[in-house]
Amino acid sequence: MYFFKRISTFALVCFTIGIQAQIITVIENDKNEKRTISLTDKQIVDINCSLEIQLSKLQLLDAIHQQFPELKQHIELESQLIKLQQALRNQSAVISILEKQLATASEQATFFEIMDGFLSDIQNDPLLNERYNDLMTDFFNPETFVPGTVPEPYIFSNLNNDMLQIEQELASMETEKYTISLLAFKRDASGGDRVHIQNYDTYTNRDYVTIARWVTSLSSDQKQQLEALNDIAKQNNLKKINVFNELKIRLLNEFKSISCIKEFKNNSIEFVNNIQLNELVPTEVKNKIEQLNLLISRFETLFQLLKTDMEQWQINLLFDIKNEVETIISHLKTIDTNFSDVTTLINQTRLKTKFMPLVSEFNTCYATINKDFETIKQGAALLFNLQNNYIANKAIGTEVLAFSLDNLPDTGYINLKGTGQRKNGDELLIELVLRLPATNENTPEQVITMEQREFIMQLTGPRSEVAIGLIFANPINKQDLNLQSDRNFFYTPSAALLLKFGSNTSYFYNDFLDFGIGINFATPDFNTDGTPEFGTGIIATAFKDIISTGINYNVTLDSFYWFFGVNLPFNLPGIPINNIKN
Amino acid sequence: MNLKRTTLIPLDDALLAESIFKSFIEKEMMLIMVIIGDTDTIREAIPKADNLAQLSYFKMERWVLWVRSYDVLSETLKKHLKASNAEKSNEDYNNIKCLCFSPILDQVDGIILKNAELSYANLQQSFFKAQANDAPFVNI
Repeated sequence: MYFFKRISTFALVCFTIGIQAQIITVIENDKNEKRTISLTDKQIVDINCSLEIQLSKLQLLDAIHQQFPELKQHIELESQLIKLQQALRNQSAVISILEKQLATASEQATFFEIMDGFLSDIQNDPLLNERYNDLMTDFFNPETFVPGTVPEPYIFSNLNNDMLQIEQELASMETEKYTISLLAFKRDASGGDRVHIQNYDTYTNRDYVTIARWVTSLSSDQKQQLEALNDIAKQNNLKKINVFNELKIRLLNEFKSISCIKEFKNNSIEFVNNIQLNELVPTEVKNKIEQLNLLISRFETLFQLLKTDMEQWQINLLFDIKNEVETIISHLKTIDTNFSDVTTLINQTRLKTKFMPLVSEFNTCYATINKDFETIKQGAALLFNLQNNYIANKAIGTEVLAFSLDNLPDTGYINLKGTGQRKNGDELLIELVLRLPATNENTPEQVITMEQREFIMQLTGPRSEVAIGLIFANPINKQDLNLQSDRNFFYTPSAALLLKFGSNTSYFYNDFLDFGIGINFATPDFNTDGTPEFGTGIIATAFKDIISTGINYNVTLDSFYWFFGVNLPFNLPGIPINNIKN
Repeated sequence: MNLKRTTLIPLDDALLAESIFKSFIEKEMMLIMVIIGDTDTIREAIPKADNLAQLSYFKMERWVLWVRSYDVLSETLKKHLKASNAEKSNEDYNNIKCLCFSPILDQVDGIILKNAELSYANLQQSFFKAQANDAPFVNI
């Protein structure tokens, strides 16, 4: 019973996925072979392919209709407009063929094909069907019908007028206008980057990079460069986190200057309340100092809030803190202005000398706080900049075009080669978003994701890889070689040129099995004379080259040996650390 | 009903019915639409089909034959349906209410089933499907 329930649920989920309306259709174009990637397929695309992205406006309208019932009238009109546009998309070809005295067989075939599509579109929509019937009835009105004429020009002309009328109606509607954008992002270990979609944004492509399919060697320069880059990347990653942590610690633990403002506040209250001076302090000054103290209290609250938020601060949420820091700095400026006003007022009284210690205290305190906040602001600038880039990539830039439904392009194109450096396993994200204008002046526009597709980029089909590793070689006819050593297995460095296949239907194969077969070259030293021998043969690898096995021929000693290799990606006592480098 | 390009096939004389049908089929460059049955919806559709038969595309004439009973011409029409590769040609004859003969090869196409509407769009599409069938054989 339990399994029956599980199977029923699974079948229901599969059915739901199967019938789920799909707005975005993605077609992979790899070496002129097209493949439509449906939602039920494995979402894997070739790392060097180009993608054709088709949008179904009618499905999009349905989705908007369901999510935003308040836009019903607007959407119904747009839906009608789109259906008309779709039905009339080839009208000029029809008219052009009809105008010909003698249409060729091929032109006639085109005419009938277009008309078949047009009439199907008409019948698929009850409103259009009704309208077509009315127009045909009008056309055949005995008083106006001219024998020898055909109805198509009349029908098209009226439907075009209907379209104009709908457009005018839409323009005059007061409901808020929404726009639609299509976005694409690349996600990899270093974060992400925006991806250009032709027809949908004006971004330029990144560096044009084709991921090499047939790799036969790794030059020492490339290797060094790769290692150097790897080190730099590691250092930068550490540095970024270090700077972030330092900033956090500085504000949370070392930012002591805040205490001076509290002391100043207490001293100023004491100054005002001083019985001896009380009568001498003009009410105007008292009020001003009171106002100043209120500002300081507000500052303290803001600071406490910042401190609390800082404790929960994550490196990916820099902007929240940035805004708070900026608010505090601007608040500090207000405090300074107010204090200047107080000083000016005091200077006009006999209390000038009595007030001087407070002036001095405030100036020192203000300078310290200001300096600390400026340091924080400058120190964080680097991180803010990094965050800016990330946000700019994920956020909708001005380069992303906003469309209304009637001018939304049907098709867009992504050339993955134009997305810069990438590697197997990186992700491509395509998002269709609805953008609603801000309800208030200072708030950002609302962005609602209508549909999202995620793909894994993989070098699919055959490819070659170079693998280096340590193998355990076992001579097959050990007795014939008269070896001095009694050992059965000899550690031997080896290099292999492997043929591998990337799958576009299995994550499990790409991420785990990853079989390889190829030629192996090794330099064993069976006779332990200190001079390596040369061996070559065939090798098979599995699990991302973690295990390998094969058979080689020792050219120097004229003998065969079989071998296996274990190249664990971590250190295990007894087994040399020996990660294969591709 | 003032029908200009529609012929009613007689119900009481099978030979005459066959003869009329044959005479129309043998006409060159003419599309023949056969509408079968005599229901209210058919009666509403006949004037529309008759109107459409007044149209001519690429010099092909049109005509409508109204077969008011499924018993009349059934064997002949079934034979034509069997010879056709058109969509829905394998449907049960009694489930079909409209079909067209192409103007040159007399191939059946544009089949409309009983559950479909006989609208202007549907009838026009039926004529076009039949004519499209012979478009490659137009000698231009």
